[in-house]
Amino acid sequence: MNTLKLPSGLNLPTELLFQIAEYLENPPDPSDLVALTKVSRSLRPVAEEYLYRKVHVRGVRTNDLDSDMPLLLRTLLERPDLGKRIRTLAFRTKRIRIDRMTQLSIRRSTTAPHRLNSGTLLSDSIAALSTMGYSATHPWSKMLQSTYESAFGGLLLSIVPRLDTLILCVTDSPAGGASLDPSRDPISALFGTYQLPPAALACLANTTTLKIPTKHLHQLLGGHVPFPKLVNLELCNGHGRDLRYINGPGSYSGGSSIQNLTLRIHWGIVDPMLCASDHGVRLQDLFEALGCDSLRVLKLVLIKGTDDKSDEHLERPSYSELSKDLDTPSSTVE
Amino acid sequence: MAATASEPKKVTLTTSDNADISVEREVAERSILIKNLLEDIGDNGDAIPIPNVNEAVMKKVLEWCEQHRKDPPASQDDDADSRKKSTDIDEWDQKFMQVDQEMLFEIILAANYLDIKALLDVGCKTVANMIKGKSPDEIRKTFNIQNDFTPEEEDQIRRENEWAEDR
Repeated sequence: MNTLKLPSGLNLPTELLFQIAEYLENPPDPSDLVALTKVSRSLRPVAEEYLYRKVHVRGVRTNDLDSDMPLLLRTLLERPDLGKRIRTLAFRTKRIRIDRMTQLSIRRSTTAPHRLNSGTLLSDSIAALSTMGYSATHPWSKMLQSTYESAFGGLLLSIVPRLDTLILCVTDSPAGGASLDPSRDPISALFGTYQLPPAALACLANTTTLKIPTKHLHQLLGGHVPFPKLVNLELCNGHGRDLRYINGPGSYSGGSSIQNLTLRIHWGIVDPMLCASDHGVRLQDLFEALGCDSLRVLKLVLIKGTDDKSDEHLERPSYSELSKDLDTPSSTVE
Repeated sequence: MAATASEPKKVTLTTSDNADISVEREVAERSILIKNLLEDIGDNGDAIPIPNVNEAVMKKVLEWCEQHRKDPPASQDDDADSRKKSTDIDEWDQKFMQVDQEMLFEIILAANYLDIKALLDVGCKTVANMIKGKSPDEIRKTFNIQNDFTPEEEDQIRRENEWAEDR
């Protein structure tokens, strides 16, 4: 009589389990990998390898006040090995005190202060800053102590040393309502001052892909962060007024290595005839500020109205003008 | 660079359970292992030993190779990120993979050993699709996996994953 053979219980060499887990990677939805971490001891590290490779923290696309970013930070402070796996990080954070979020009667905001108490996020964060050389009196630490959410985001950006792709949006406290416009001042919202911590600079140094609101451009590329390896830059939600902050040709770092530039801009920024914005600043000024020596693909997404409902490529009047503006032999304008 | 003869060339493979299987060289060469062996030792008509694969699995694998004999060779560009991560499987392959789990794992192991990348991908995708959409408990049941976590470990994992959990 044949002995009854039981199924083998996913008895495959680890390298093949990794291959299988790779197919479960489905950003921004991590649910299959989350389930796999809970199956067994041998599958947990396999699932974690991919769960933490491309991290999209919920709230990136929505205007939810309550972000899961502090929860991710809590995990990474306890498990630094997971922070080293992160290649893609997408999150949205706000310059708002978490302990006051209940006062802002906005959806899903009730659980946030409770989460701060769940565990040691606050004390661990302050301790981590102290280890990095930022004492309790430093503005960044002060921000943390007052539970400003964006300051936790700055710490998060300091503990992901293998970061390759960053999708970031920092907003300020909503003024008189729930409007969460991107901040013009993301660096100090994240780090308390305009001096980036060496740890964050090291984490950002390998970034090849950056997707940020146009309002972040001036601070992030305007001298604070070198971005020596930047290849893909996507600027979202651009307005003509964003170009007023440009300091002239070559003033942005990272621009000379950019190969793919995507601009999502509101229609008014490009005058069909003159290629000039409402404010007398030309889009060309942006290209010149970036340098664009290596640019290969320029993608313009023109947005009509104020919503980010991309009415892509409304008209094509200015593209030839734009390509003239670029004056880059290798440039191909889509 | 093997020259294509007008008569289909055949090779003989000897499986782990000492069965000789005769197969067209073009079909067998879907396996990079066998292709390289044939190139290295030259086709002198000797049977090629495949000590890690038994007859039943080898036949199944060769069935796949026969079906896919004309597929273009896998691209050398094996950049992990440029590869398409879709778990779509074509219809024939889906039917082909409708086997019991033991055979499925044997096929995956054989594809890995024989270096048949496309078949390995189909096998891994099939397993991935068996995991998708399931709860941890359902995954354990599907693959007969023991839950070897302590309650403390389960708490710890839930806590670590909280940022990614559905609310």
